[in-house]
Amino acid sequence: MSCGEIRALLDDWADGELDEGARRALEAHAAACPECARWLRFEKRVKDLVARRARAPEPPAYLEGRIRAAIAARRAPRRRPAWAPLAVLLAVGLAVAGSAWWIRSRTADTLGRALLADHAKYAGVVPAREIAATEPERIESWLREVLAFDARLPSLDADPLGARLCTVAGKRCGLVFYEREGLPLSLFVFDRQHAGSAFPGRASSGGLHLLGWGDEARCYALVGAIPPADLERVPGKD
Amino acid sequence: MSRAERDLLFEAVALDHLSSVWRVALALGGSESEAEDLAQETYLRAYERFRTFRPGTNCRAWLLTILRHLAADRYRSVRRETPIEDVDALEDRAPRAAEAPPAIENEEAFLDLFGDEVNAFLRRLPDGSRTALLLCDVEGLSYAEICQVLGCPVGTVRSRIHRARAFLRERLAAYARSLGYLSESRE
Repeated sequence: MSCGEIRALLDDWADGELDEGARRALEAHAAACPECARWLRFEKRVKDLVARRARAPEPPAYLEGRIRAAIAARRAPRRRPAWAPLAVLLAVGLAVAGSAWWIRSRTADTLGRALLADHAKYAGVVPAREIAATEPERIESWLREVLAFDARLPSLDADPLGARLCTVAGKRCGLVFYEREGLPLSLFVFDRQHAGSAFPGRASSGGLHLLGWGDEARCYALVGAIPPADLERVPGKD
Repeated sequence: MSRAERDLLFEAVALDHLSSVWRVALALGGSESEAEDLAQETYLRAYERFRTFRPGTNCRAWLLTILRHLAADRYRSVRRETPIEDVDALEDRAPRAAEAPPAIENEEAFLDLFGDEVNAFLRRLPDGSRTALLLCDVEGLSYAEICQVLGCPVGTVRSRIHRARAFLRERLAAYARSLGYLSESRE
């Protein structure tokens, strides 16, 4: 190889694009030619400089969670066609039967937004639990100990992971973590007396949806990155 | 493969390349918020098309290809503020046989000489050359993989990288020379 040929192959050499024979011939030449050796060194330095200086910092820690949540939200609509007719019927039925529930006060809106925001904090990360249990009975028992009301868990088509105490919009509640088909769900359990009459029935924000309901003593809010029609199916019939 | 299995596979093989997607998105998008949007959009598009991905092939190159298409659509009409160098003029500037190589006076200090200058010089390159060089030097992709990402023949990739390096060689050498860290003396 001549010096001119070597100079034309600097990039291919530095990038590991030469075949074995060419690389050996080039390096053998450089071993006997100080100027070509210096060119090779300089080429390598330029490549190292770009690798070192142009390397951007690592992505922000929340980006993976954000992407996972976006994928989860995108995943759900694909199932929608099968549910679409039922979803429409459910939505219409709920809209008619519970119109009063839809006309929420400002308080309900505020609480709904706070609950959605609280769930968003846990999306994509392992939640900090005060009790880590997968048996609903143990979680229910713990909630009754720490909350000053008869907290009960509704039957949900999801796997419990644990729970913690929580204060949302100034209201103390139990927060139970669930997982359903790989997606995190949050169930907020309130004392009806403290939750007030304006409890959110539906709310949505940033791909997250909330479903609220209650009984004579408790109010529940279920939040997750699944469409309202699917969220509607998570609570059991009991 | 069931949908659930495909979802698991996607998370296992695709999310592992988030750092690369992020870096290239940042290089193409400019600001961090644009890069975040671009990275998210890339993963959503990849998720939708994951059925077409063949396990065992280069997932990172596949993701970066999607990213490059999205960036091209998004920034098609955006004018760059940084003046772009005419690197075509550098095409034939491989060091000639008679040309003396720059002599680095202090090998150890040389790499530490440059900070933002490298990025400033990179910003002056046309998008195609800059992207090819970053994929090569920062992401460590082979020329064949860069071909796949950029959708152009290997000769074009080689030419873009050669021109970008020639430009950088000249600028960095001039900068180092001005600081007294390079000389042209022959050994």
